[in-house]
Amino acid sequence: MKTNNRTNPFILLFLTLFSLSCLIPFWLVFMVSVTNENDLTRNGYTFWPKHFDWEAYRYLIHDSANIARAYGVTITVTLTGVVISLLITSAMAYALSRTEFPYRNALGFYVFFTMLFSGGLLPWYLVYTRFLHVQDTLLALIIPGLIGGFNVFIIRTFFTNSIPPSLVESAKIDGASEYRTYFSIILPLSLPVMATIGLFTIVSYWNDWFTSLVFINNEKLYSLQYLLNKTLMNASFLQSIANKAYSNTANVTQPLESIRMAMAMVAIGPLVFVFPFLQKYFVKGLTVGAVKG
Amino acid sequence: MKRFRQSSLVLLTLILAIAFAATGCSSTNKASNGNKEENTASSSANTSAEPAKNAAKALDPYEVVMVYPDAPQADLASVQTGMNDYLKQTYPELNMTVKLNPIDWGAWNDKTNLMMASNEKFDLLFTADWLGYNQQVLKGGLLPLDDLLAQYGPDIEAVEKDYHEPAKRGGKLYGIHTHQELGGSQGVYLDKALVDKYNMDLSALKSGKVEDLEPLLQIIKDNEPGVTPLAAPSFPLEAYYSSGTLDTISSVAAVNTLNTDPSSLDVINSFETPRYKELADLTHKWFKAGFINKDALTPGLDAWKKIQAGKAFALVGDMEILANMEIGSVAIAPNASIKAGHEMIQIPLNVDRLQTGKMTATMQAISKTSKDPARAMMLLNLFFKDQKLLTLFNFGVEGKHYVLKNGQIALPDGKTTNDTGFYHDIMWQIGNQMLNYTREGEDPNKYQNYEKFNEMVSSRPARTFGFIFDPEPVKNEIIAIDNANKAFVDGLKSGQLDPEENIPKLLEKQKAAGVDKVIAEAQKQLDAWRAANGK
Amino acid sequence: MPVLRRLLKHRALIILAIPGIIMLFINNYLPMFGIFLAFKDLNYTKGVWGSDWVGLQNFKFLFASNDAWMIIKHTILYNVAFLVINTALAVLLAILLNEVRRKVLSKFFQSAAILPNFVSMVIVGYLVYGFLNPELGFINKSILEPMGKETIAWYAEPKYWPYILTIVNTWKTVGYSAIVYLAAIVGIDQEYYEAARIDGASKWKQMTGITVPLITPVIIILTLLAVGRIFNADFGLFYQATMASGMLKETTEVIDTYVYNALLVTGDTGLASSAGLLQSVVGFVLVLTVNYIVKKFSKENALF
Repeated sequence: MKTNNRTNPFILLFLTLFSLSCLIPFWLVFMVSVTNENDLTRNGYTFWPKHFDWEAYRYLIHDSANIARAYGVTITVTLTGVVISLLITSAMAYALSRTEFPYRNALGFYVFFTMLFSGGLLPWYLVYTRFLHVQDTLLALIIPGLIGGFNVFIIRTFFTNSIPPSLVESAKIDGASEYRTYFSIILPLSLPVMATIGLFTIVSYWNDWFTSLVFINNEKLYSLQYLLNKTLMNASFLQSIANKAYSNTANVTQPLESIRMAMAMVAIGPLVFVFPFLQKYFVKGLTVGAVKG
Repeated sequence: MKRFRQSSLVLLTLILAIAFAATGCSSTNKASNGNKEENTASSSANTSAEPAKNAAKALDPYEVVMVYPDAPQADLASVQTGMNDYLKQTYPELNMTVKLNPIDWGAWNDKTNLMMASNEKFDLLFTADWLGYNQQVLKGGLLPLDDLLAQYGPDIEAVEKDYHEPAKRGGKLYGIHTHQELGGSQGVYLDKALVDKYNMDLSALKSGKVEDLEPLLQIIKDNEPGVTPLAAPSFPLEAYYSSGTLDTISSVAAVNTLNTDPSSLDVINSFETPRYKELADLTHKWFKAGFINKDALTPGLDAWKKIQAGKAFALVGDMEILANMEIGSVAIAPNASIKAGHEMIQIPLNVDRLQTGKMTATMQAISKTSKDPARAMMLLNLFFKDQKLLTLFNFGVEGKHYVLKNGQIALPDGKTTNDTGFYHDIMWQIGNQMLNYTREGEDPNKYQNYEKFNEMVSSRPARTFGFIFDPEPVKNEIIAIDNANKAFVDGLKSGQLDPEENIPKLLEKQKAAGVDKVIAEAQKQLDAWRAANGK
Repeated sequence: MPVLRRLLKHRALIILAIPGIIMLFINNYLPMFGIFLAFKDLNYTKGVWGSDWVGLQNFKFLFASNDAWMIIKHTILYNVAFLVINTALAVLLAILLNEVRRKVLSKFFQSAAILPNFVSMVIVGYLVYGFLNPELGFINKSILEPMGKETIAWYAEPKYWPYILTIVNTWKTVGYSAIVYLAAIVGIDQEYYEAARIDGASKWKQMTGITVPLITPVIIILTLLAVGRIFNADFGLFYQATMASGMLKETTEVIDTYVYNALLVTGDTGLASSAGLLQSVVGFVLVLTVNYIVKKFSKENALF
């Protein structure tokens, strides 16, 4: 490629501004997390606190054993989940993407239907606890996130659009089985979309707290987000009933604002490092042209 | 390439294996999960009557599962063991153990609903009108307790006998009220330093009228820039208004008790009374004058933080129950002073009358899935008579989680509430609160004060005390009215909205939402109740 | 047995699809019996099957409020606005990101774009509050006051909120969609661009002539999927970002917040399942319609 290596400065300016708008709130979250609580009451949020106060983090260190264990749970669940999920999802998307597959529409409908209709919390809970009996195990955190219609359709769209049918045809003529075509031709060609969907799956596993709430009673198996969110959820629940409950009844002190923000930092932190790691696949993803040529 | 192909096949087999394992071999999973709380028979309620009858003879061992909302406690297991050791030693004939199953507040509604809907086995459940008590009864999640109470609850009856009526639904009792204060009191807290500095005259507040606070707020406004005279989100238009002038029935329906015939049971809309208008005007005036903080409505805003930071002078809210609860009596409020970090004065402006709603605000119920409701009731009864058991549940194990200092509960040396392993304030959830120890720093006479206060409250029952409104016939209207209220009520009570303009708008919206139907229904039920009870 | 023969012929594809089929069956289809709950008065003792049928009783509360149409209107209008703005911005962002030549910079921009997606709505609510707090917020304290303008009671003024919510939603979700589009753009065969450059096509021409048409299938699919949820509002956004302020209802009340309040008032969980079913049915009909139209133009881009 002989195109110039300079990026249009207007584009750079635009993207820089956009990035700042995304980053500044994080800066703010961090700064609030190290602001003295009295300063917060007096001055509100500031981008540079008058008095630094690491109280929130000290408070979290108290709980560090639990937080470390929750990290372990979340990381295990996320890694296992994302690998299995990508395999299942992409395999299904591949079948859906093949025009000669006779049950393509029916299968598409089968997937799509689940995106709109759901039986609700109670039946879902019954299936997992009475039929699969996975409550209070890591499986309860992994299985629900394994497949989602949205991801199936995105991957399918990529398969149909960026992989020419001729490629599959020629593989067939060479005597490759469907499995081989899928694993050794389709998947390597689809690294960018796999990385994208992989990222989304990581994020959704990582951010998931609800399955923990529903299925996990053993606090050793709490996921990180649930462990941290609990405090916020408790506070917001007590607020929502504050008018109904007699005040002396549910008189629970709010967590300090700095602690809420510190929790957010603890929860987001590690994810920030995952993304740059995945990014190499965006760049590295082979283009169809490169294979053909 | 070849190697890749082979490993990919292995992988595919692996996913299939996992997928099948998840569906097919659920029994193996179950075995490895420790198999707890399974095999719940939905018919348990019937079969359970058997062991109850044989209670006099030797009882089979039984584990009573207690479900209640609480923050997780690190040392829960050791407290549970402590309770079980104590039960075994002291009441071997009951042959029971307890299992503590606290649930986080934020997860409470979801989890308890799921537990009940899926017929999970548990026994004692904390419940309250604000936690869906009506729905739990309606959906058949709770057991009627009348017979069990008569048979196994003598110590409950000793203190709560007169207060069961409000928890009855369809003539049957489903919840046992915690024995504690029977009502509350609303009034003002003032920063003592500022009161002294300006040598304020507090005697005017003997009137019990929040209006008489105005001159004090004016002094602060004029002389103390940077200090909010009245810190909200606690407003005169909340409990102070409703408790002081209304017998609330449901939603907006209420009986106006201010300047009406004491025998009158006319149901009105609580937003239509002259007093509501007066207080709304007052609040609006205060807001415009800059007496009330502008961010009063922020959810999660804690007015005490403003007081603590020295940014606010007064607070309208629920009073601490002290020795003297006469209207207008001035006293130092110990807990408030701790919260504020400096001395706070409290002045009660209103004391609750005995209200139906308060009696259903904190209850224990027995789940329909209990295998032995009789034993659950026996345990509940113990919480009404046995101080040791109560102390274990509320304060933990002596020496480990607390020590006794001069007859009060104190933290062990060098421990804080964060690292003592078991620290919660949920005395109000179960049993006879009056049997509890007080904490260090509290008035040692706290519970004597409560008893005295209760006499005051129970001597003045509300006109509608004991009447229970069944909201089912007008459920949809209540939802719609609540929806209409939301847009105005907060704005009115914080003074941000002009009552002149907005109260009529609100009433119109309520009308469209079916307020008349709700009031008519309330009147109908109230009349029927009056006829039945000869009031 | 032609069916069997067809099955056999495509057994490889079927086997590839089977794990997904099973997972969906367990996670989504088995619990579907819950849909009946929308028409039942659930009683724990009688169980899901034994509970009494109540017909459309559970749906009534949705229309009990005279605001029902306003609430539905809000839900749809917000969703349409979010969809249009989000798509346009995300595509633009993706194209621009693809233009960045320096790898380090490109990585940095991409990471920044996706960051907001990691923050829970509760925290977003606090952040918004940091800006709009009537006494101490940046906008009142650092912008309006120094300029000598009257400060605004943001949480009492409904008229500003359609814009605020749109900004917050865009901020939070646009990076996510942009990454999907970027993955599509990265996958475009470079030969197209080289051919275009040889023909002397400008950047703009390349963008409108190659990039956009080639990622249209992705745009279509994302739009189709969004259409299905047009009756569902993002509860977190409308509840947390507004700090649940009742005074903003006039412009911020959507179906999901209304249902949530109804649940709080009555504690009746049956209400949620009926509301959910209604939302699904509407979305379903809409998607079927749009899918039908898409099918007419490009068969392979339809959902089914």
